[in-house]
Amino acid sequence: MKQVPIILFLVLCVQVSSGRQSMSWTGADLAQRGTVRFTELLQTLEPLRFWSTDRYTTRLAGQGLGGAHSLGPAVVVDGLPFSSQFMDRTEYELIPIGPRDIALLSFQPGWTMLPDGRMADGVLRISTLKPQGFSVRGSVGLTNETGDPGPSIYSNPAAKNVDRSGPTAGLRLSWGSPTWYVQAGLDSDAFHMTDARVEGRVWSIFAGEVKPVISHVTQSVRISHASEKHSLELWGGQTVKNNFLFDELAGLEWPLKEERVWLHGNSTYALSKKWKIGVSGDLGTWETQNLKAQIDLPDKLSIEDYRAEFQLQYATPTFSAVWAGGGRKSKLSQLNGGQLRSLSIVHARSEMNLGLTTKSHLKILGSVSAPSAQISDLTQMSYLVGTELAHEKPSSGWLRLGLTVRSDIVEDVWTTLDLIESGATFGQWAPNFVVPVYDSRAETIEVSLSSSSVVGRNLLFWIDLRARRLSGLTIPDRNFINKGPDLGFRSESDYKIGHQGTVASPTVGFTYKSDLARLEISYQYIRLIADGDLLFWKNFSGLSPHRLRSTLLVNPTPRLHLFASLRIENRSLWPEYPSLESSRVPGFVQLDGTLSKELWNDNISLSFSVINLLNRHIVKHPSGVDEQMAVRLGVSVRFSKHDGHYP
Amino acid sequence: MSWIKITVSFIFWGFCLQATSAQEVKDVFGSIRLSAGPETSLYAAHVDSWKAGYGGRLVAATPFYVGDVELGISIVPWNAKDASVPNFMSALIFAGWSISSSPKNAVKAATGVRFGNYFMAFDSQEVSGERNESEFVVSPFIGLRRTFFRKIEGFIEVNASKVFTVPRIDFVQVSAGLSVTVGAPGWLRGILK
Repeated sequence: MKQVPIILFLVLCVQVSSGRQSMSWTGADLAQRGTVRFTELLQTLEPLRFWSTDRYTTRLAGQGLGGAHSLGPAVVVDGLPFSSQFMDRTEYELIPIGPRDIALLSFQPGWTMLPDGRMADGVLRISTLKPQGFSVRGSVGLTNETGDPGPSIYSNPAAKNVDRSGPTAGLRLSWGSPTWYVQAGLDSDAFHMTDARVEGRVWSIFAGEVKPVISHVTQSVRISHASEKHSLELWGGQTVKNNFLFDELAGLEWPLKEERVWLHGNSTYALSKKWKIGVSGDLGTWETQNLKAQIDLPDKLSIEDYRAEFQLQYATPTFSAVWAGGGRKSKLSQLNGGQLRSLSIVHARSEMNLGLTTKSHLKILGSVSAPSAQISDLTQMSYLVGTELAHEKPSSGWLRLGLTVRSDIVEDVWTTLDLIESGATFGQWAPNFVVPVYDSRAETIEVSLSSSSVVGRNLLFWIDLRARRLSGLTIPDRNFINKGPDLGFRSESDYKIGHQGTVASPTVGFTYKSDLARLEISYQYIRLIADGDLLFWKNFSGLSPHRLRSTLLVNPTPRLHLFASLRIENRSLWPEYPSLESSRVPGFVQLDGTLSKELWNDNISLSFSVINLLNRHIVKHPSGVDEQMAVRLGVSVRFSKHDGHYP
Repeated sequence: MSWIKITVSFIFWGFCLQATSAQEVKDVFGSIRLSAGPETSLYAAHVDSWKAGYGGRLVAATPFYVGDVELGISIVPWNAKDASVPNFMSALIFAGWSISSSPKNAVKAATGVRFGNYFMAFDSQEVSGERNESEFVVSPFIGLRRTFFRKIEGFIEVNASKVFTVPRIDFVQVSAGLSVTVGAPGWLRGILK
């Protein structure tokens, strides 16, 4: 805690700042980026950090203050939290959203509690398009990495095909009126595990007779209602994923099938012009089933998860607030182990926005949660308190100052540590781990200062300064040893408590916007202050300290779009992989380009992208694939009575 | 990065060509130029066990805001030089953009770049190899066109193609033939615009 004044001093010492006005993107902007997957779309968002071991599974790390192994920001779609977590990651690819479903996307950094009771390190909020009348919308995309052997497959028997993925497909059938919207959706994707760097590992585990492919299918139905007094959102579905999950617990892939059945809902009713009540709920089941394997894999795991919350909302022009309370019940079971854990957690949260003047307002948020059986035991209580002061500058820019304090002890069933503390076993796939005898309370203090300045009509300069002090962390101690292409990176995961450190990050950038083009350039620096805590340093390394990011969107005609994305990152360190050649991942320059064209009164859209245009061999993780130049083709169609143009 | 340099060079010379031409009002997507002709490979690298035969090319081009855009297919058979490898048929399906000198010139020079997929279908029943392969291709080109009769032109083109296999396949192909320009039907303009 003694570092807190230092961090505050560092932040407040900055004399001049200009931060981002808002991190939001319109659907039109996003649609013109040529992406066919939601995860690819997230990778194009300027402030977000990410990495991957297979080029398909995106490990999103938000702005990087939670380290490379964080769960990443939560995703909330039309007010519904979509949480698809497993083994310390969020499976963003399973969220049934395509790049062309989005009307507006915004990113809100920092800690907050969601209506489902989860703590989120940043939130991606999405408003979807809801076309009026009957509508059919569909999209399909194919991505192929270059480097296949071609004719030499006959003259060189050792030659192998390299990564390809797709088809990535989405289909939406819907009907909408000013008050009702009904939609049936189907999403599917496939990714071939053929890269030479992972293929040996996968085949050392997998014993199927077909080529290993990560694939998933999601079918979902949603219904929305909005009237002057009442609103309703219900969205349910089933997701089946054939996965080859690389996890640091094992150091190699786990061939498994995941099945999720889920239902998210919320509803509000206006009692008066100022008062509103609401209820939200989530039901979900998740279970694993192993694919054919050559070793003993983890026995079937299953989780049942039920969440509900009641809300009271108050809004006037100068003051708005949400007070909410709810709870969740989670059951974790494993075949041959029976029920491993049953958790009942209750929570309360509030968020208040107070207009201090016409140009200044204050936001205060707070939340508490505790096991329902120990609700009066303060030692079992987790809490979050945050505040943000925002002031609109004369230049139309904003100045924002934020402070958040979080203290967390509540257990869950979704993280890897939760699973193994509950008694889950992982067979020969991950036989070696040590868990702590007792849990420690994790504490986080985060300060932020950001502001923006508008220069002329087209330029917005911004700066964002954030620092996060973490303490009481329970993190795994690992030293991966490369056992070769067949045995992967094996290590014992020895979880240890009480680790601490600080992550500080300044970001500067500017956005130029005209009728013809939009250019954004930003630079981010991440500084780890471990204070001699080697384990903290090992766990929070992985993201490049220096990152330059730029995107350029040019619209030479209303229906022709050129999008370019440049990402320059310096060398990153992965100290868990101790040998010199694997712990240092070289820096890289990645340039992507997309050309897209709308046809037939915007009913059809074609896009062609060259990813990694410079054709550098890029590796983003010591155990990850070798990313070469790839090409991507996307086609989307939409036939709508009222086509729901992007705002 | 030689392929990028070559492609950028071709586009640069294309803009130089355009700069020399008289300014005109373009009827975007207003016409279609259909071109067809035989094609063969003059040079090929990294396909030492095969020799290109004679194939053909069909291209449909239409005026764009700057230059022309086109779609096309080129089919060329490749014959094995020894019995240990199978023959294969290649089909290059591409989209491209080109720019040319003034239409008022008797002989028009044109240059551009094509992107596509190079499909290879092998005449093989072997289990060990793939019967079909495909890979991304970039193909900058230069050519000459001359009007013979109203809307009928003769053309000759040289393509320097790079197929992004490992090892890379580089080949230079030449094609010549005739093209005819027709008005684009209204429905097609409606779709393209």
